[in-house]
Amino acid sequence: MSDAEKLRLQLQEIGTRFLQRTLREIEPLEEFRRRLRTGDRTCLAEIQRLAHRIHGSGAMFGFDAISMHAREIELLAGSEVVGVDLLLRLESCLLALKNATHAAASTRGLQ
Amino acid sequence: MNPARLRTIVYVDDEPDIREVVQLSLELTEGLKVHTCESGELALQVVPQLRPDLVLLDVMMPVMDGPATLQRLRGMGALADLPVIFMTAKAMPQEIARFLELGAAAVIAKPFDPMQLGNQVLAIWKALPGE
Repeated sequence: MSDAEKLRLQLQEIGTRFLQRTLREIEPLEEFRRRLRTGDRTCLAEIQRLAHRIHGSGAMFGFDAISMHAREIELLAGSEVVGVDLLLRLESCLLALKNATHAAASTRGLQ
Repeated sequence: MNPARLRTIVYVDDEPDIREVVQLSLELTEGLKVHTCESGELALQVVPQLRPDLVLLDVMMPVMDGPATLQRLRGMGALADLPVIFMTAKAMPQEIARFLELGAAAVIAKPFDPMQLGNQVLAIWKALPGE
C-alpha cells in the first residue's frame, strides 16, 4: 500500500471519529439553545467554540453541509445582539446541522 | 531560495482532528517529523526545546491565539528568525497582509487538502531566504 493510500484510509477513519463526536455534541448544543431561550447568554461563547471546531474539521473531511451549518451557528453565536430573531435562526441552523450530521453518519453506517 | 532541508515541524492547533491530520499528512507524504501542541502556551515551552525548522500556527485558538503566540516566540531571542506559517480560515487578502506584517512567512488557508499540504509547506520552505 502506498503512503498516499495509507493517508486516505487514515483520513477516512479520522473523519468517522469526527462524525461520532459531532453526533455527541449536538445534544449539548441543543441544551445551550434551551438556556438561551431562558435568557442565559453565558453559553454563546461555548456555542461559538463548538461550532467553530465543527465548521473547520467538517470542511477538511469534506462534510460540506455540516461545515456550512456550523459556520452559520458560529456567526450567529458571535452576534452582538441576541434577540428572538437570532434565537429562531439559531434553532433552524441547529436543526439543519443535526440533520446533515445524521445523514453523513448514516452513509458510514454509524446509525 | 532556501537550500536547507526541511526536517522538523511543530504544529500548533487546539483542534485534535486537525492536529492528527496535519501530522499524518506531513509525515506520510513528505517524511517530515511533526510534533504537535494543543495551545499557544504549550508551544512556548515546546518550541524552544525542540528548535524545529518551521512552526505551523493555527490563528484562532482560545486563550492565546496564533498572532499572540507568534509575538511571544519572536520575543525569545534565539527564535526571532524562526519561520512561522499561519493556518487559518481567515484567508482574505487583507487578513493575509496583516498576518505577513505580524511576521508570518506565509499563510495557508483552511480547509486545506491533506493530500497536498506537504507540497504547499515544502514550496513555502524552499521560497524562504536561505541562511
